[in-house]
Amino acid sequence: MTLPNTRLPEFYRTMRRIRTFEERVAELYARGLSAGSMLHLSIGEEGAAAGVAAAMRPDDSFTTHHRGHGIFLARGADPGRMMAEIGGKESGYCRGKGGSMHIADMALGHLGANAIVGGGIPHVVGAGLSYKRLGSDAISVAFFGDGAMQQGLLYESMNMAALWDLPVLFVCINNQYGMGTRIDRATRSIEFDRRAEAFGLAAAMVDGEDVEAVHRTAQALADGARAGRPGYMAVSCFRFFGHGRMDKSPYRTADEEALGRKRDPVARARDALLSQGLGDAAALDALDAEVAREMDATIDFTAAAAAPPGASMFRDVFGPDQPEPEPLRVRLDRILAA
Amino acid sequence: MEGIAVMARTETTYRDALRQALQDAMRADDTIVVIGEEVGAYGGAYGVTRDLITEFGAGRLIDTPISEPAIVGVAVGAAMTGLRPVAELMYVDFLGLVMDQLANQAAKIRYMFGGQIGVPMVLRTQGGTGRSAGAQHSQSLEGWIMHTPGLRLAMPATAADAYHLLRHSLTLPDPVVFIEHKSLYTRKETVDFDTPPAPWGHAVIRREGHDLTLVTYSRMVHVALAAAEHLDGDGIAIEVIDLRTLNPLDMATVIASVERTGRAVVVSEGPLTGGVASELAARIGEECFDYLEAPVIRLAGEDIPIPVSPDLESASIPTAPLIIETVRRMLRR
Amino acid sequence: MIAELTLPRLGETMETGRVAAWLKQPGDRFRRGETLVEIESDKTVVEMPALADGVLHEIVVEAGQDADVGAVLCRYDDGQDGAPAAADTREPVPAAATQSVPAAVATPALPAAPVAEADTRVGARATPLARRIARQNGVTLAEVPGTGPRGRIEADDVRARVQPRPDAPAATVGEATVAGDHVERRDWIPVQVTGPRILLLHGLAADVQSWAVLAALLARGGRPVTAIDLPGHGGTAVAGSDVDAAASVAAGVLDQLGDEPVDLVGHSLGGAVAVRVARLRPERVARLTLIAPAGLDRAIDTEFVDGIVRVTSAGALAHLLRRLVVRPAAMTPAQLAALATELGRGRLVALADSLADAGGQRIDITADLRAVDMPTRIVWGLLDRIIPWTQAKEAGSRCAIHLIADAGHVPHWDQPAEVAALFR
Repeated sequence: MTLPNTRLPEFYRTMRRIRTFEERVAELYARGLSAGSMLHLSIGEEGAAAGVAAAMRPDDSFTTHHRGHGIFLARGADPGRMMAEIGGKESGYCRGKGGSMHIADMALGHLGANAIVGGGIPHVVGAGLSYKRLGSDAISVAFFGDGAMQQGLLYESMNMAALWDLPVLFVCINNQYGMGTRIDRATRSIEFDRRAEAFGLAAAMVDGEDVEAVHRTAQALADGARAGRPGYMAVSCFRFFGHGRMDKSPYRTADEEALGRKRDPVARARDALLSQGLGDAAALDALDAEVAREMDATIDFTAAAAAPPGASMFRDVFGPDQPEPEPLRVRLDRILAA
Repeated sequence: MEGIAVMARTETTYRDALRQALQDAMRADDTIVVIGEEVGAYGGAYGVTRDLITEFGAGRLIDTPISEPAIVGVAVGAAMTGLRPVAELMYVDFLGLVMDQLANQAAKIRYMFGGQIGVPMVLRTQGGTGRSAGAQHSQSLEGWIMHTPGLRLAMPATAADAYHLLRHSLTLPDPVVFIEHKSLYTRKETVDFDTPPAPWGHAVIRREGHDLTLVTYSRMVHVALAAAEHLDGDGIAIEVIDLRTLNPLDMATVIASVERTGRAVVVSEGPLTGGVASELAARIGEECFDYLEAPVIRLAGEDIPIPVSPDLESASIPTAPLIIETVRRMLRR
Repeated sequence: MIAELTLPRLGETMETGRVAAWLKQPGDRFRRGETLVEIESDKTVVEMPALADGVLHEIVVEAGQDADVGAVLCRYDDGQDGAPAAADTREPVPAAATQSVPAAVATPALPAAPVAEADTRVGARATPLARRIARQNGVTLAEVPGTGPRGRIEADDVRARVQPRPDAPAATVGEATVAGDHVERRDWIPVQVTGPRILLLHGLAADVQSWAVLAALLARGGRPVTAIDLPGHGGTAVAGSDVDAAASVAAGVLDQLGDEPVDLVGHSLGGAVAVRVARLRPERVARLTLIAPAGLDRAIDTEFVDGIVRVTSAGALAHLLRRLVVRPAAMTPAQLAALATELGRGRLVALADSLADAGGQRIDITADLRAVDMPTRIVWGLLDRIIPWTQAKEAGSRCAIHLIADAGHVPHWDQPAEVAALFR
């Protein structure tokens, strides 16, 4: 058996896993197993995650926005530990203290998801500074949404990355909506690549429905960044669901949603696999079923996982050289001792 | 240590002690970089990094555009990936610009990520009154930092502490906000560069006394000492505690002292309401309740923006005469 | 500013007292020395004099209620501006001066609202450290007079209780031995000694306790004070059937009071004893003060003398006691009964009989008075119903005479401040 000279099957599998994972996140919430309701699903954005992640090396690092499950999964995260983190369990990536919006894993170069729009962007500039200073040829990639395109910190960061020729790639996943505000209600300037070019970055815009196109663009920009030419790319896609899990999208019409959901990178990849003879329907169905089982297991794993021990609440506020903060109750017992 | 041999005890200004700390630390640890506005060729707005670029080059004395949030954000990312950055914020007043990167990012990363990684960086900045720099360049915002879990906070009062606390800050695994006082830079004293006056996180009793405890830090240490010296002439023995670091906060030293004296005055240049003085007073009130002979008094900055007029500026913060008067009234002598 | 009148310890065993009656009501102006309140202790009824001119603001412990020693009985405005309230040693401020302060100026010194709220607060106002020391040493805070701001009890106030220092002239129990016999003695020690010691000799059927208020005032004024129970009285068990016997015991105590001559004070029977002591030890007596002394003339309330040493019922005793002072001395039935029982033992009958019979007084001190040459003075209440004050004229021209208005046979109960003022 010879491997086809394409990564589309790999991309399809990645994207299917992302989509199914996100569907299970919604289920986790519906079952009352999620830690809170701050769950931002990336269904419709799988092409951006899979395509860019495929252009990164294992030693590269990245930060994401609050809608970053797919990117982390594409990067190789264990969906069970991800789901457990989203459920606030001890076996999650961050021992249940980060959750959906603050998931991170240093082993996979994930410098952190961020709940502040644009908050993680300068961190990749810092990482790029480190790599350059320390002689590494790794790059660092910032993933953010179109909402961050209107945050000043992005431009401070772009400016510094370009000024210092840092190995950094800025990736805007433009799903058309900053929460409930469509991009054309947020800016007159939707040609995002021109903004980046103005700072001296190599820049491109790409259709996120086409995962292979995303990958090609990302690969070119990542290679450039690795050579000290920081880049920017905007991946256009459509956020299938609301801002959060409970958001019924009153700010857009059913027609717009129906039309947008036709821009489906997963369906498009499946069609391409079938049309290019890279897979048959039965095999793809089997793959989908296998992914469904894998992702079903994440819920069982999360449901069975232990909550963090109460004492862990005071752990890791500071490094080990500093005593943990004194719990309120300990203080009370001391001060109000009979 | 390579290069110039440093005499163990040297007459040094607060500013030069800071520079010496940076120089010694950068020689000892080549992951240390300084990032900030005018830190390179200019030598720092207050001259702390003067000439360091000559030895360490522009790769380690990194001049930035005027982009304070990104300066701190870049430092956070660099700290997570192998460097030990010293981000310089020219005025502590600019915290308003950088609080997200400091409070939401740097302070919380270790915790949010379940202890996977820390952010070993130092944010050097300076604050306080004394130069008629006005409402946006004269504040004492340590309360903001102290109010944020995950940030360590050093506020040296002396050249020796400027040196030793900065050196220690550059060994810690967490973000340290290091607030210098603009009116102390030219203060000169003999510094023992080999031995810190006390370990990190320990307060120092600058003057012993049994009548009343003055708890303070940064420049107010000297104001408190002047007041104590004056009161000594009247036979009133004041204990003056220099906290040195506000996080960690050495309450043990404070409690032991107040339990001896029964009276405490907290002196802070920052605004009174919701500030460091208030926090300290509350803790003393809780911890030393059974030992108090008088209400814990807070002497802090007035709850006003800092005015430019030198007369108004100096009247807006605690002074030695105010401390003296307060102590006398508390002791009724 | 607002000052507090607290319940003093009127006897060594006294822990509580009962407010018998208030003689002033909120809003009443009073002069220093005027009686504000009558207190019943386990032994006696005492009138509490005002320690300064002022205006009564608030009665904290109402008549008929019990209070612990040290508890605040009332709050009053002492007309002082900001100074601590314990002002009993200051020069008396003439009432006219106080009253002449314009209302607009005086008003700030009368913060009515805080005072009105005061009684809703919990317990004594004390610093946490004072409370801690009190807790550790079993001191009841209510017994501790506060010297801090606005009367707050401070650590040193409590420490003074724990380890008495001469700051506060609290009486110390002592004893003397004369010719092998125990003599009960009390000493009041001032912070700073400003004059010679004062030796107090009480009247018939009284004891050292009768001097409590005056002695405290004198000690605050800087005078060391010693009082003794005369033979047959209080804690002095040895019998003494006449003035000579009592005088010989008192002289024995006097011999033990250092080298300096003392200021000798005697009341009623004690006055006669004092004159005899002065005769016996002229070099030991710097000055003689006789308060309503016996022995100047014949007239005396023989019914009182005869009755007080023979009472068998509390009712009879109460009846007799009313003759002593200007205002009826209120005692609880139990206290009256106890005292009646004590007196009913008849220890003092012989002594009383030596003092007076149906014809009046049997003793004469005038010869002794003429024989001594130290400064001598007579103090008498103008409302004395036991021995008429007019007998003062029998003392001779050498004696100064101080007549006190609004005082009965025991002027140091009715007007203690005025009596104390004679010793400045």
